[in-house]
Amino acid sequence: MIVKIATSGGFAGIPAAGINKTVDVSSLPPPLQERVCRAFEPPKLKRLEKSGAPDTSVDRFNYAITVTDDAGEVHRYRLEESVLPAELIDLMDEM
Amino acid sequence: MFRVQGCTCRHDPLQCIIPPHMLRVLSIRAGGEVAKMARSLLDQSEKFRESRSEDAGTVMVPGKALPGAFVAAAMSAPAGLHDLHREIYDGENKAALPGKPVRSEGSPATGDAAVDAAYDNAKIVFDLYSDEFNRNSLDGKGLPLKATVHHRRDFNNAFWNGSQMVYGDGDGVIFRNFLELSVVAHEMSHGVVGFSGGLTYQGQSGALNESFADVFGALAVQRNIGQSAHEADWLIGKGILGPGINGAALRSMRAPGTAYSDGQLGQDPQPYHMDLFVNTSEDNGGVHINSGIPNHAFYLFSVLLGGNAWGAPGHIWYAALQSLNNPFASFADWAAETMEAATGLYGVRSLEFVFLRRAWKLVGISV
Ligand SMILES: [Zn+2]
Ligand SMILES: [Zn+2]
Repeated sequence: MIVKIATSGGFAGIPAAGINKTVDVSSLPPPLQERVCRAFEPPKLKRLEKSGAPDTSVDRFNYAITVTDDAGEVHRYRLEESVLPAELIDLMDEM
Repeated sequence: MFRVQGCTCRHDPLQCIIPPHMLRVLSIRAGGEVAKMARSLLDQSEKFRESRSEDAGTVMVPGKALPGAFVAAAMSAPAGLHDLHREIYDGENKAALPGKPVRSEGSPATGDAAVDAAYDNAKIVFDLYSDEFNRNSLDGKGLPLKATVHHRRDFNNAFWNGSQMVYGDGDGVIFRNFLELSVVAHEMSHGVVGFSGGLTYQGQSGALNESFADVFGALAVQRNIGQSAHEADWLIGKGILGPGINGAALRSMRAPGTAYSDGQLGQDPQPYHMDLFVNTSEDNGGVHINSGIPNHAFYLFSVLLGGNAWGAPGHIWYAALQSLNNPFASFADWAAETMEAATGLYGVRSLEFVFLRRAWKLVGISV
């Protein structure tokens, strides 16, 4: 599984200031691998994508997350930072 | 009327005070029509310099206390009636908000530079709104000022989440920190916008939200060090870029598009005129990009008028936000609202009214 995370927006509004990483999950240490696989399961991200509560935050990042599963299938998500659980964000920082 | 695309504005060089260095930048980096326009304006700028400076000589006024500003200040309740209550939290490099409480109102400095900068700068911004605009905190009702520092790891951002300020540490490469006063005032001013009816964070209304935050970011700095509009640098995020980045700041209100030019960061993408309005789906429709246009209008107005930008210009912008009542306002709607505010505060043929209309015209917006 390959996870690609890219942000736009933010206080600076410049892509170079944002997050841009591509992680081959199989290269992560096994305990982290398991957590990432569970966190980035398509149904979970789909649910977050639809959970768009009215967002009053500004200067936050918008996330484009692309998950390529082991069957080669590509899943794309567009998520506002405000809908991401803190644990998922911490995991992204750890990956 | 104005257009959002193409070069449709009739360029009277006497009316367009685009600094020559910006024209040079444009003639090099911009494509097609824009580069051509820049080159031709550059050719003419020498020719017109004399008349322009004569013109400027007749319109500049010395920075005197403005009658309207005096009245507004006289009517303000004493600042002591407004309650400042700061709460600073340490995010401990995690995403959970607000994090661990580390400093509250009246408690001594912690020695953590980020905590103490968030605490000190929050008061400077609170005082700006309290003393100049008689506003009791961000919501006008004494909202406690909550801020989290050390948010996440190497986090290159600062934001307002609808109820508190959040600051990353920066990665040390692209950003050093996000606690410079103009940044703190920018985030807190997003709170003021939100509690004043809001400006939808998309397209032109989003860029107006951004611009209001930059304008009051600049005003917080200028008032804090006592700089007039002419003396100020009009930079947002001065010194926050990493040591290896070629740039003075994140944005320039005096010369949008020139704050940085760097291999890693690219070129400051801000326009200063409607002819250069950027249509994009990124960044909520370029909210941090097209804010350069109203930013520059505020700068031009402040310089045309002279004196302190937190005087009449700040009062007009603040009054316009309070009376706007239109979260989907376009640049033209906002410009019209500022003209109404200028009329209400200073009168219909006042210098403020005349120079404000002129400033909007100079960025391609007719009011
Ligand atoms: Zn023009
Ligand atoms: Zn902002």
